[in-house]
Amino acid sequence: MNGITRMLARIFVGLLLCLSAMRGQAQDAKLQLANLDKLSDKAARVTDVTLDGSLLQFAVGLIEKIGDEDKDVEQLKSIVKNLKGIYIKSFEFDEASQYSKADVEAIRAQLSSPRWSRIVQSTDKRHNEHDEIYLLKDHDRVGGLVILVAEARELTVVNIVGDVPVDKIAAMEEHLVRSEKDSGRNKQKKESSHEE
Amino acid sequence: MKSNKAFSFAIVLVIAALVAPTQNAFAKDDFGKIVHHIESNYHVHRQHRWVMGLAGFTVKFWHIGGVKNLKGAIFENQRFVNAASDTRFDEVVRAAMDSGWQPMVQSWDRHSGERTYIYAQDVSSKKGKDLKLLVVNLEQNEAVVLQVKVDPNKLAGFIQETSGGRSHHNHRKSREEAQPVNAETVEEAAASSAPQWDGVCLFLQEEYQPGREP
Repeated sequence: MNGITRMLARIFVGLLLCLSAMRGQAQDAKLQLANLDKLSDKAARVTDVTLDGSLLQFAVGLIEKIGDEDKDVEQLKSIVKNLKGIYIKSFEFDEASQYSKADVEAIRAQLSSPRWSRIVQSTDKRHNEHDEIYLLKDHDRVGGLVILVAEARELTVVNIVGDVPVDKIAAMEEHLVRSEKDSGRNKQKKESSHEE
Repeated sequence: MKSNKAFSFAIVLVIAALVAPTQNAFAKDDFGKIVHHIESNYHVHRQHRWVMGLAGFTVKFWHIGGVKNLKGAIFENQRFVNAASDTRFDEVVRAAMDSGWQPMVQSWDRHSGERTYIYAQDVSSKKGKDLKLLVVNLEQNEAVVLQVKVDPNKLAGFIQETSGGRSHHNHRKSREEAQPVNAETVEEAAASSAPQWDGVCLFLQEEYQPGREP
């Protein structure tokens, strides 16, 4: 009896640990950005986007219903399919130094865990610009993404939670840039033919 | 005298009973509150009221595209003076969160006073869950307040139905076909018309030749 109880207790603890780990993964990827809300009073332009839970499912459902024939839509579908949340906070200021280093450090502190890895860091000291991209590793997949843009007059944090297929995003971006260039070239051709 | 008092007391009770639920209903009408604030604060009037009313009435009976309820207020070409300093507006819209609205998008420009709020809410219905959206947009000379309740599945079906067979490529092709042809192409088309052809084909599509510049 004693042995069975001990075994059951072990299974129970094991299950609890598994559940908390699974819960922790999603919580890790979502940053606490409430400390930035105070900047709204100083900012000239504020943008706050929160898309998660049932709303995100609704948006994903709508995208999934759109026809498959378009390559862009197909890629977009595969990108948004496993997302759990999209959070954006952006503040634009009229004057420089309206936000403190502590505001940015509070975000960086949440990205200091070894599961987060900084994949891009760009610093321009002349213009006081500091841009970073972080990825949350979840075995061989990506569990979250954070884009941090800290400029003299702007502070933007983009936080994407869920399986972000970075390769597909890159492919889609490349495709979009190419089609944009093509349309630009066509426009130029049209203009030159009009001039002739 | 006694009966008079009892009668007036009864009337007061009846009025209270009638007014109490109405006040409660108004308290939950965030759309009405926001529209009222715009009208009273900026002294502007709603336009296309009948059209919006008719649209709302229509979708109540025929759920076009899964839309079950529609309320809209449009204010066009009217001046929204001191919109940038109207902090009360933000409070009124944010108060909607107390009735279960979840903020999706909030955007505010201090200089122009432009504000955009998109709030959403899940509502349980007989056939599952519906989605309610509240869209508020205030600009320097126009404002729109829109509240819509949709059945997500039906809306998705409607989108699928309307977008089915009309892909991006097809759009592109149809756009190309719709482009006006220049005089040169028309002449070329007229010259190359086959002898057995009774009429003159005016819209000959130019074939793509890799080496040739247009």
